Amino acid sequence: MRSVTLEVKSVYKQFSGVEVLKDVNLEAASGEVLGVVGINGAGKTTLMNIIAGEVALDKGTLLIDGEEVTVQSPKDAEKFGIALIHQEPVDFAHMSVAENIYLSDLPMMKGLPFIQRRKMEKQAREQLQRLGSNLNPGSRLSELSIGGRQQVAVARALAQNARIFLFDEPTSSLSFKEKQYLFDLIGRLKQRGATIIYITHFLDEVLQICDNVCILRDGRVASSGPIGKYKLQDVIREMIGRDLASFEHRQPRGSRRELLRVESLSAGTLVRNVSFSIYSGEVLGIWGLMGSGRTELVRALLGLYPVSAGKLLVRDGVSMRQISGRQLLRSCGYVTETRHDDGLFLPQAVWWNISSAFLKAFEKQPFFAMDVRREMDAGKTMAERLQIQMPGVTYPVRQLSGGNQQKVVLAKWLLRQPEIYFMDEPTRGVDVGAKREIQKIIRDLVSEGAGILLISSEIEEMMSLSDRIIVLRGGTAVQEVPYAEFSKEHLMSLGVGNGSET
Amino acid sequence: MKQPAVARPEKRVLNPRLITGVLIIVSFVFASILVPRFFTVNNFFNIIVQTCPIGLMAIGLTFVLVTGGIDLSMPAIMSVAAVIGAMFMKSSGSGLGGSILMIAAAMAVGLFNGFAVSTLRMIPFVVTLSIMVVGSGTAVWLTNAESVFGLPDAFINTLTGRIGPVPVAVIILAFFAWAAHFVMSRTIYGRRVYAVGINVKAARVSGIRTTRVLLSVYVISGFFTGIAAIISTARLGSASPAMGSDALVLDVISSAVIGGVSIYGGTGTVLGAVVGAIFITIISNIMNLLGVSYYTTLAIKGLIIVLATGLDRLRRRQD
Repeated sequence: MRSVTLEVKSVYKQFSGVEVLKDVNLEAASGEVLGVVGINGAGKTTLMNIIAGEVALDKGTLLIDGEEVTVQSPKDAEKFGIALIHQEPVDFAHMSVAENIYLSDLPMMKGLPFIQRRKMEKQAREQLQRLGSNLNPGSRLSELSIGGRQQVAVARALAQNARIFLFDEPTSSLSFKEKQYLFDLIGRLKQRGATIIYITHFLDEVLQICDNVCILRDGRVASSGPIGKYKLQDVIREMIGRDLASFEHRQPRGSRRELLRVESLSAGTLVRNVSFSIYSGEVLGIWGLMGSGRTELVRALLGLYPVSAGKLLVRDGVSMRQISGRQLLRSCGYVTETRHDDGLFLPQAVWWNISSAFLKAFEKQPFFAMDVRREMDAGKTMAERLQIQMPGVTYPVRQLSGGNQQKVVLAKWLLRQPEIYFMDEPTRGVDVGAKREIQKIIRDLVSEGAGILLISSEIEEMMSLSDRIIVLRGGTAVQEVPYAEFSKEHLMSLGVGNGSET
Repeated sequence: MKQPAVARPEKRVLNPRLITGVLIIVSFVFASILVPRFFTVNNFFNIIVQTCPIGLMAIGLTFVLVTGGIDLSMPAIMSVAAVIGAMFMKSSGSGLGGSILMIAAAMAVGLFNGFAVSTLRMIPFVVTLSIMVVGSGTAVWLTNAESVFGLPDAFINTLTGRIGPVPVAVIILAFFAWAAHFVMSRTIYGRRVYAVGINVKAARVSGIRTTRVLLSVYVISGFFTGIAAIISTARLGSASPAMGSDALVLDVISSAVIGGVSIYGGTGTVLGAVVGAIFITIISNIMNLLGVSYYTTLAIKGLIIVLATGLDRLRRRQD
């Protein structure tokens, strides 16, 4: 018989007036994996934090084995056997695996303040082996990969008699092999009768390991039930709440005006003698593996990275004029790879961020005062155009979801109305819905005549957005691939190289 | 990295802004009990006049702090600038020339600090601490540790005089407080200073010349140090190396931090810093009236800055 271990009943939660969870119900049974899916901002993380006692709920109840419980702190959660396994577990990096596992209950020598190290390591090894892990209990946690740390976190939870395991997007930082280990580990937990809640936005994983699924959308349960009931398309539709209009195929674009010419750009050992042009109305993809110099290429040509040689020319009426990287930086749009690092002013309001790269436009003469009202209006217009979901333009960017933050970055550059955009991973870490919207923005910009240089690690995205792709390897442009010759295999093999070239 | 849809709810144990307000009110109440006729226009002006040097330096420091830097050299540079200017006044008899020289000298040192921080990428704390020592040393060396007297009467009378009922020093502080506040809160330049303080990398990508902004705030801090030197010299009727005591550094930093300027950069206003300076002045006065010894006063002020930075930390956690 199916025994329900954890029940969430009509839970409500709001933050600063925004309803994040509305009447959420779910059931998780012993020996089963419940997948909780939803786009960023759907409320998955908040729900998990409520169950794990990190956030208090406004209304609703939690039941464990049919009994109502109040979980107000992570300590309470531990008492009830609830363990939240973080995406990138933060533990005591300088302590050993065994110490991390038995941290709260170290085996001591009778009456003496000394740890029985041998015994502890033996127990730890057994505990890990039960999970199918062969980590060395003596190694320091800092030497382990993220996957290894997750194993340690699970082992610790087991040592503390946890029986409800919450995995919050556990695979986003894992390699393929580590992922398989994790799935194996989850399988073992299942066999031992544990209750597992698995949050993700990778749908293939849900189909692979979950028994039941609960789909959240805008803080409500959009649909839930046994996984056998769903096809991949169904899950996607429930997640984003509308049908996927498949992309119209790109029609050939009109005038190809050369907007930017890069001549023999070199920057240290990372960019070597790269030349290309960006034309209006096209997306130029720069494809390469990590370390191929793709990000450095863009940073170098914008003067953010020291250049050892090369020349930049931009369109100036009918001719081309030479400019510096810094000048280009001040006139183009540049979506950086990591929005938190160098894309946003997190504590500041949405409007403040949107106008931050185009302040001159809002300077009022005389006295050089900023026309804040006009800035806010411009921010509002942009936010509407890009459908940024937020309580208002005065809301701090930090409190928006990843997808909306990324749209703020785009809004900032769109406001400048540049002809040339550099977009480095424009859809990284955003949900399916926002990703589509951002891709649509890119298409719209190009059809309005902008020239876009695109970098993406997702080869499908590269192929669907680009008109031609330059493949970089070891800082050198290996080949330019025209649209007609796009294929995953071709691009991959060019990116990896066959080893004979340098 | 995944972000929650919205931030965690604030754990509002204490509201730091409220605490600052309460502290200021408490100090006023104390002052009014201890000082007869505390709430008179004249006494109010007196407090502001006393606040002047600290207040002016706190204004300059606000620019630096908002970028995430610090300037410990201000009081030491104030005494060097004052001594140089006073020596010039004494020999030439020109109050105006001496005043301009004070500002120029202080700005030149600011330019050096700024260059070291922005272009040479040196750590502001280390640079300005060293320059503070250089400054105090130079001031003593130039004067043989003696005060420079014999300044032009016109210079002293103008700056210690009144326009109607209002002391000139009060007008100067009010004007600069207003002007600096306007620049920081309403102009493109101010916006850039905050942008650099919040996220220097994002500022650079947004096309802001971050090196230039960093350089400029130290020059501005030098400018206000120069103005503070002029006011101090006029009030004392002389310039001496002892003007910029080490304790003054603490007063200036406490003023800004109590006034809500974060030492972590990115937040705070000029007016806040000036209010902080008034608070610090009142505290000093009260302790003076209570007969608290100089060294005990120092200890208490030290504790105040620890408290203020603690509040700053709290405030940061809430944002």
